[in-house]
Amino acid sequence: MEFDEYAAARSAELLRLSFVLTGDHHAAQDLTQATLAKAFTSWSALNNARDPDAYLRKICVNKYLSWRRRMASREIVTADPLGDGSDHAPATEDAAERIDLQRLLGRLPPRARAVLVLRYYLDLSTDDIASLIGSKPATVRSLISRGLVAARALLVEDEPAQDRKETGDAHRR
Amino acid sequence: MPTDVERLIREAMKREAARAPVADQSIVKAASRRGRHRRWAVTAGVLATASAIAVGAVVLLPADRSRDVASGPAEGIDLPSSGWDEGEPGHTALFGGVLEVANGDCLFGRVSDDVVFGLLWPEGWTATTDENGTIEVRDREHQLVLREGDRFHVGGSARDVADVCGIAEASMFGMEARPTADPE
Repeated sequence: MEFDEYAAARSAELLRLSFVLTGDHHAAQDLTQATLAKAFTSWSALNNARDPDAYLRKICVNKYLSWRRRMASREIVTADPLGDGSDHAPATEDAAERIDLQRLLGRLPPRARAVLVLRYYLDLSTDDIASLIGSKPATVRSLISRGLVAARALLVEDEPAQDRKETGDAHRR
Repeated sequence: MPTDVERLIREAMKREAARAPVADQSIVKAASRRGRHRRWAVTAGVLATASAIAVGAVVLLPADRSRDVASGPAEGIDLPSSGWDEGEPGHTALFGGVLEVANGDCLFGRVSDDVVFGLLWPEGWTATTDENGTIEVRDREHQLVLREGDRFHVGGSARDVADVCGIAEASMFGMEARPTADPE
């Protein structure tokens, strides 16, 4: 298979993964492009890999983590180093039933964020995630657990807002 | 059975993925161009470095100057990164030398008395000191990889010339593999 053919077939999927990781259209496109550029230079290894798609995901996630680390070292205060927030979904009207994903992911360190995406978006096992990010399965389980705690806290925070909205509606009635 | 919060996260991720921009052919073309440029730049860098080593002219440096300026110990220093992370494919130009320290905490590689290289390390690696003040390089999992004074070799690629620890202008070597200490 030629690189262009493979890249064209995988670019949409890769862009979705990049978008879930970054939460920003421009950053997602740049991450996708950087990933494919790296895949281009490593095409022989990637094309001969047992699972080329896993190899591509590994490049993407590691590239994302590198970017976040570099940006974190340059910036002093930032809520979302990759995105300006304009692409983020607004707080949902049914907060009790929904999680504002970028708010949740924005609260987590980059590795925990990537691990949650790999676990709950790509449905990878903890062993596969550990192999992909070069960590131990126990570390991955710990990062997932931390993410779930953050998600529960976010839901609890949003509950009063939901209650207030319902109270306001009742008064207006 | 997944907990409720896990279900909510899965649903949120599916919604988020559905909002992703649409991929078109331009992204693949741009990536190919970028990849070609990168491949060319790396090849040029490796050739330039190999030539420099061949003529022994990377830099002339008093053999023990780095020791003169070394000062106190370093704790948990983030090492400058090559941008390469473990598990990624990497280039295979070979660097071999001794790990030395200048200015207390700046690590560099010495190939010979006259030739030094700046070092760019795998992502997330740090340097710490042991109880004797000897600098140790640790990987992302805090596993000890190298110690000051170790002779080692590593694959990677040559990068731009830069100021190396304030002691010389020399080529940087970006590690794109895990360095290995040579047996004594």
